[in-house]
Amino acid sequence: MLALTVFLFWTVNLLFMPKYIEKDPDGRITAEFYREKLNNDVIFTGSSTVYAGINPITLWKEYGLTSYDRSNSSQTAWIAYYMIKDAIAVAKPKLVVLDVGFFYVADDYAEEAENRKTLDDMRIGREKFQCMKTVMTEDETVKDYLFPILRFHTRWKYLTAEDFKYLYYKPSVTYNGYIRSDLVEPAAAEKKEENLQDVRLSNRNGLFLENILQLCRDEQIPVLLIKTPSHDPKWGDEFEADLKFVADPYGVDYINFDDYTDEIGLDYSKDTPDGGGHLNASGAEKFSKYLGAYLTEHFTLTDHRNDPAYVKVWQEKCERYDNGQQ
Amino acid sequence: MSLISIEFLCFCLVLVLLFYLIKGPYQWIILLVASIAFYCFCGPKYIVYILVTATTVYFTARGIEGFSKKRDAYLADHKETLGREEKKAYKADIKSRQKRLLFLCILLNVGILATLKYLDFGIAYFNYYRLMLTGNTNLVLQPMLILPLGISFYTFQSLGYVIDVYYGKVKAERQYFRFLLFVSFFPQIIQGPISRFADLEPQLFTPKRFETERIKSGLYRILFGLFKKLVIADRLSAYVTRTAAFREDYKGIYLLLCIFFYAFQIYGDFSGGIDVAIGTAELFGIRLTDNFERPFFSKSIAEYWRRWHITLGTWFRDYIFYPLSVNKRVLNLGKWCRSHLGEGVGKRVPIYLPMIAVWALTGMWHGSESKYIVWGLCNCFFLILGTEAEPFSARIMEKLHLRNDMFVMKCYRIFKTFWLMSFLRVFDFVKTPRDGFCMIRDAFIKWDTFDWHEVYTTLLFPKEEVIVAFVAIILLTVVSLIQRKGRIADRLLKKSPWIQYSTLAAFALLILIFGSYGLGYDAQSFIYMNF
Repeated sequence: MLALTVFLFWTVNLLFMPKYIEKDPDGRITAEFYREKLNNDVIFTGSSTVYAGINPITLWKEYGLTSYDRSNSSQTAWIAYYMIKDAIAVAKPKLVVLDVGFFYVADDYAEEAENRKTLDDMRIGREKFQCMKTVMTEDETVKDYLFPILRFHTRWKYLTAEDFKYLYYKPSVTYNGYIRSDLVEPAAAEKKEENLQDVRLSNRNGLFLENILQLCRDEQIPVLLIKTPSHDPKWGDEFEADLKFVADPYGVDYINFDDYTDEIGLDYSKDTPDGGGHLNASGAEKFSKYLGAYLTEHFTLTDHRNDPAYVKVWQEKCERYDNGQQ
Repeated sequence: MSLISIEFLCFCLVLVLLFYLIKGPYQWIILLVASIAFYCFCGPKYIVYILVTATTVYFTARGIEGFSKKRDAYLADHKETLGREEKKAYKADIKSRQKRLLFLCILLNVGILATLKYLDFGIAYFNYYRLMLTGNTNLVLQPMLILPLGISFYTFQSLGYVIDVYYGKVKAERQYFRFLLFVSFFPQIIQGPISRFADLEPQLFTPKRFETERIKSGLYRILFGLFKKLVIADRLSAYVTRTAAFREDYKGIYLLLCIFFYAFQIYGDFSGGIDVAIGTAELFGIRLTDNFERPFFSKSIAEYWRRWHITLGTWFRDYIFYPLSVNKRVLNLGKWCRSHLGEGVGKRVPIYLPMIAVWALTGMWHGSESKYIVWGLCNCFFLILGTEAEPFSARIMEKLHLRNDMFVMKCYRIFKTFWLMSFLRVFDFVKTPRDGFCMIRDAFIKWDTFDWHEVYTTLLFPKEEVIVAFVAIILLTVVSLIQRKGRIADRLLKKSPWIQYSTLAAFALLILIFGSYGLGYDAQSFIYMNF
């Protein structure tokens, strides 16, 4: 009876949780990370610009690098900290590349939908509990995360065939965290220079950035801070200076790839799916090649293309990518 | 800690384990510690109020009993020496002392209750009338007192006990902490039922052994209560609150629907909470008094009030109505009326006068606003009307060849009672008595303006929610019909384990999925918690 109750409760939980298969596949990035059969040498963290702009398949094909985009929509510095901590706990990477594209948000920034996409599939452990407590909005509670049905039971009126189809098994929908978009929506000629010109690195963002750098130093993992290219947003020099002020004592480099648009070969009239906010497949291909060249040049990373174990696994990934399969 | 929280679930789970691990006569200590802890979880600073009530009532009861013993001993010792008149005088003296002691205790505890409940309201009225009559704008500040959890319930329960001791119906409890458990027993502290000492005391202190059947029975009751509260009451509250807030904009069927839904909301909320309380107590082998007996199947208002909030009704009957009915002054007034105004009036005064007092007090018990007194008096009016009109309606029925035991007549009477009581309930959720009367009036006009689409959109009660609400109400009605043949838990326990398990699982899933809780729903506290 007890086993049946647990099974029933588990099934109901699974049924009501959003599936993120046919829509919003970024919700599957965390879950699919745990499916990796072999260690990934490079972990990319950051917001949506990472999972849209850095393609681990290209990095493998071009440089034999094994990597995973451990990013999420609107990933803040405090979420990134726990994603890195969790990634290290699962399998220690050789390099952490941290995109700071969303580090300009206010200290009280919290979005339940993004939190859920990040945390729901995170494995149960200390990192998850710590992350929960750090990122939760005022209305959220720990028990809602432990028993997702308590939050998602309202979905009874929105259940679709997808919810039943992917009840127990969910196919992979990302390519090592990368989410491909073939859409093209040209950006306006000029970058939107919105309110970010005066933005500064806030206390909380600065604190968690420092925590990340310290964590990686403790674990002896090199870090690279980047700003994945996008047409906007664009922040001012003071923000850049703030980032460097935190990173310099740790001997960590920061590169704003917006400054290398021409070298990368990005053309925002065709390399973006949404008017410049993110990169599409062709933009990601160009940037990943450029980034891969930089990483192999500046960090000691192994080319695994001669390692049969890796070749077998990554060949499957490449085939799935080339066929556009899920 | 709410009765409908995971925290409470865990609290009970730990408690049940401890309770049955500690076998023997000390189990009640677990319940006492749990009750005090529960009260502290809900607001530690208010514990002082319940302690004051428990302490004063305890010592008063001991005092009253002490006087009785003293009297009995004195009379036994002086059996031979005292004359009849002397004995009578001595008894009267003791009785008078006991009465004074009882009066002081009631005064103190009712005073605390009244101060906390009505002081702010009284000051507001004082300010208003002083401003209107004298133009004085210097407002007396309201202290904005907060009612301690369950104060009305534990005050009434304690006073019932001390009055019973006074009348010699029960013996005064000797141990203070045992009495404190009777006053603070956690499942019933929030919203009752109001237990009698004679019923609860033997159960609280009898050692219990673990019985699966009893636990299952308690779980059934808890789940059914949660179903009523979370699936029905809290779901309906969305429509009721919004419609009541925009009462001016909605007439006719919108208001009828609101009144209909509120009847089930208040029933689901209150009886659901009581079910959780009774079910929780059952986990510890304690059977609390039922507070509801399918009231929506009542065929008259009098019957309705015998089946709704039974323990409050019987409390008022035993401790207010009966003493008032046999009060010398009331009886004398009846005699005077009989001689001056006729037999009919004289016969009715000793009944109706206490009745009016009881209903005014019942109204006041529900809240400090005038609308509650109006609600109480309206109930009283219809009760009296029902009694007075009985011979008249009997004559009409006779002429029409109708009988009360006919199915059609039963349905008609149930329908009539349900709607009449539902209309009177309007006073609960409006601001003033005037608003209540206007709402009742507006429910009968502009029926042609009703549009379900308006309900789904502007009134924020989507179609799916409406369907679930109606299905849940139908399910509740079906369960109520089955209950006529006895307790569902008792009947289920005779079925196979799989049927028992399936029923538990089905109800748990229904609550889990269709319950109105968590983000996206405005969590509702129990309505009667504030009474």
